[in-house]
Amino acid sequence: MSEHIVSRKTYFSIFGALLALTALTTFMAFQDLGPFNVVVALAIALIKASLVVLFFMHVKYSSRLVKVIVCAGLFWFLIMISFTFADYYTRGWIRHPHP
Amino acid sequence: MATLVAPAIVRKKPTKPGAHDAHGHHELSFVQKYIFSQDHKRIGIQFMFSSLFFLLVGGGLAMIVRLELGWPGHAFKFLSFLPSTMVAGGVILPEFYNSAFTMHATFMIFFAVMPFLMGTFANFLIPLHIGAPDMAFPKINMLSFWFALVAGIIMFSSFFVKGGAAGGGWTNYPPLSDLSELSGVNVGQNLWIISLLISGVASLMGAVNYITTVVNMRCPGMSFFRMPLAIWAIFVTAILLLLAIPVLTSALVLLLFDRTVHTSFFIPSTILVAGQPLVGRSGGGQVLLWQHLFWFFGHPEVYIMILPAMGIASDILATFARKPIFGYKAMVFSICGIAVLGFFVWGHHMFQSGMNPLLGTTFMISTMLIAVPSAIKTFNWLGTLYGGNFKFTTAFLFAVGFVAMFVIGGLSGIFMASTPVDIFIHDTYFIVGHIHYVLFGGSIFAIFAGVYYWFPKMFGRMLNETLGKIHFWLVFLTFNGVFFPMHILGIGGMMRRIYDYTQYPHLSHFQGLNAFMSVCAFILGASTLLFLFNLFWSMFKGKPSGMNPWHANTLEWTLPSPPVHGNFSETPHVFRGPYEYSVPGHTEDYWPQNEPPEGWLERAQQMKATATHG
Amino acid sequence: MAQAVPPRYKHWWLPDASSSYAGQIDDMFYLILWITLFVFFLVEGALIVFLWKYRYKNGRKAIYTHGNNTLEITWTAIPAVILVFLAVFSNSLWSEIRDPNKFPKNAPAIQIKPRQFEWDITYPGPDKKFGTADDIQTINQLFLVVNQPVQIKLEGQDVIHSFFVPEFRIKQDAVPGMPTAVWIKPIKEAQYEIACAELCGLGHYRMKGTVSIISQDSMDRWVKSQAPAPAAAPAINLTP
Repeated sequence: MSEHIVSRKTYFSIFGALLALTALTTFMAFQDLGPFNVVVALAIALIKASLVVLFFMHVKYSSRLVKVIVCAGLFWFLIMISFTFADYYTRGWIRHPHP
Repeated sequence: MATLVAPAIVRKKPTKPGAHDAHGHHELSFVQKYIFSQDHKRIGIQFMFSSLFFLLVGGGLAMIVRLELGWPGHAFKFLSFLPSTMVAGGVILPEFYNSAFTMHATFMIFFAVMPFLMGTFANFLIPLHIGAPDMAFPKINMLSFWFALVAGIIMFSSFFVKGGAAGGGWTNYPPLSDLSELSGVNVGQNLWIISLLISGVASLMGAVNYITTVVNMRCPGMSFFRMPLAIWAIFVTAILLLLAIPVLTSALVLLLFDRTVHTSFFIPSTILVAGQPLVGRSGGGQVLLWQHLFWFFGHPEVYIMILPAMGIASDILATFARKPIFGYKAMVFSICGIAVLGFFVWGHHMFQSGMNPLLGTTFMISTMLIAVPSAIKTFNWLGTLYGGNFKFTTAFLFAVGFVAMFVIGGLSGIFMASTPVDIFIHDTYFIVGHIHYVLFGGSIFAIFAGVYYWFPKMFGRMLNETLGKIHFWLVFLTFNGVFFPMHILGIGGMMRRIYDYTQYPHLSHFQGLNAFMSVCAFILGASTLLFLFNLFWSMFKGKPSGMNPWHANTLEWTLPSPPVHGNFSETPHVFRGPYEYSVPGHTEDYWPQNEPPEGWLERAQQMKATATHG
Repeated sequence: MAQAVPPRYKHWWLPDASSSYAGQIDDMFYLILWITLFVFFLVEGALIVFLWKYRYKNGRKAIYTHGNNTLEITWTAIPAVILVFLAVFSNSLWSEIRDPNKFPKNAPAIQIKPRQFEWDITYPGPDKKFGTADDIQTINQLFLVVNQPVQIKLEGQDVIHSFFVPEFRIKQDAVPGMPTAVWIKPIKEAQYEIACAELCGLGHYRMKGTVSIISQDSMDRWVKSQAPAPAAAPAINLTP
């Protein structure tokens, strides 16, 4: 299996994109979007993480097996998040008598 | 005497790039050979000695805990040598007691049992069992050991800093572990976090290495379903490590941020310290977040410590029963089943934590289900033993002890799985008894079995069997003497992690029982010294073992003891599964995996001849 | 008022069962105990028999078998059925104790806010409302009325504590920043101990309180004797 050689230009442009997104995060932190504060912050973080995984970690150029493994990892992550949030977000539904 | 089949195999496979060439055959210096070694066998043995050291440290701390529990508040004059922050006038102080059981668990879990199974045995066995010259990444392998050792030393050093070692239990629930004002431990807690971060890196490096090696470096003929169960278990465990450790790491980083740069991941706004609100913190954190993250790692961690033990015990049982493993595929599938289900059960540690009770139901069902694969394994071990022809070696005794004790640990788990019963026995000694039946009666029994079994391959000499059997019976009897009564204490309502239960009228009648348990614990601790003596004595004076003292089938027994650097002079070829014992029609009662079937050599030579002449 | 002291047991077994659901939890415990004991003797018995019967004999060859699918299915299915049965059976009791919708209606409430290392207890007082002038506060002393369901509201002040009364078979963590609640219906007049079941620091082992189960009359008299006391009124000691 030959290694795909990623050009220096790609690395630098990804690096630039990451820096720009960091600046965007900082900028957005000073804007009050109400409930969308978290959504925007997480969306930017997700884009950054995807860039790192795809380019810096070479998943974009890897075999299908590697991609499946990455997805499996995400699936595992989803298990954790979904059960934890199943606890978090349902706590508000619990109404003990005598508030 | 059996004619041992030499590992000479006709078909030569080109060595994997990078795996073997890097070593070369030049003479290695002392440092390269014994200290910064990249040989998987050497690293395995290094892990063994570091784990044994930390096993002694953890055991010593257990003795402190048992001293206090046996005779709460008693002045032990012989402890006066310890600093006044730990022991005052011979009386063990509550802060030292808290540190002692916290660090006992931490050392045993992260620096004794885990590295013993996933450091010593994984390293030593994987390449030998699958017919590979070494690990896929020998340098990473070496680094993994040194990271683990550094982590252990950092953890150990935390006893000597101001405020002492972490004392929040091995689970270190915030806010107790988060705010030094509440626990009185400052640097020690940070060191605990840092040490586990480093040990996590070591585990990850190991895991990546093991997975890669098993997937890529099996010798010709070694299909997945011809791998010994120990390798299956280690392989699956490595995947568990890879998935679970990062979650612990992120939780630890959050906790470290809370402690050092005063974030509030685990600190709610309403928190009061000595009745006063906290200044300089934003608050708004969630206390239960730590528990979710920790147990998402923590429960798979339990399986990380028991799955390799199951695999090792399976191999040893089959060898000494002289029988194939009963239901090999069922065993493999139950290992995988445990691994997958293991990620869906973490909430059962949190039934009483205030988590939504509906989620308690979900986790109870998944917890009950995970008992099924364990039951399958137990019944298959019984099936393996049925109709065998046992040689009662020490290794076999420990492996049988493993099965017997694991059954108790598994069955007592059902009490906790049942949510209403758990309301009562949660956080009592019942659960302490349960984990020790799983982790000592399970993991450590299997570790002892493994050491007795593979010691000849590690050092070329046999461990003394008489001492070994004395060791087994001492461990077996005193282990049950310490840990079985813990179930009774738990049923009586005795809380865990308690410094002085005689404060409570409803528990004070347990003092006699506790004293008995402590005496058993001291004998149990002392028996380890006997084991260590046997180990070091046999290393130099033991009976030479020869290649295959147990008449076992797997590939490592076709090599000289100890095997040379690079293991196999020629890549072996595997023809059958690892458990072909007592095969009808075969003259010997064992049939090594790489022994060619009749006529195979001739045919191969013919083919080779036609290939060269044709 | 009956003078009660916390019981000192002689036996090494379950403490008294003194809440409405304690007996049910014990029944569940015994059910699991019988099942596990049966399995325990079955498995360990088979193990010992095999060890004896198949000990080494020169010249005998072990049975050569790789398994049996019928057996595998049997010993997969039977434990699975038993365990699912246990889960379903447990769940009805679990929801009876824990489901907030099934808490007894109109049960009076008591607020417990444990801190290192004491139980700060607040009674709503005669007006049955918290945060008013007639609230009664005690430390480490909980009074409950026999046969009267009560709701205990828990919230930790500093670290996680766990409210544990062995005789009631109840345990619930008191988490800072996250209110939790349990209900209890004591079924006999007695005095028991409240223990902290979650490690909470140096004084964890001595963080104990007492719970006195008294008659409605005694309770009324006690409430009257406290009101209209200022908020920080010290608790009277019922046991001389």
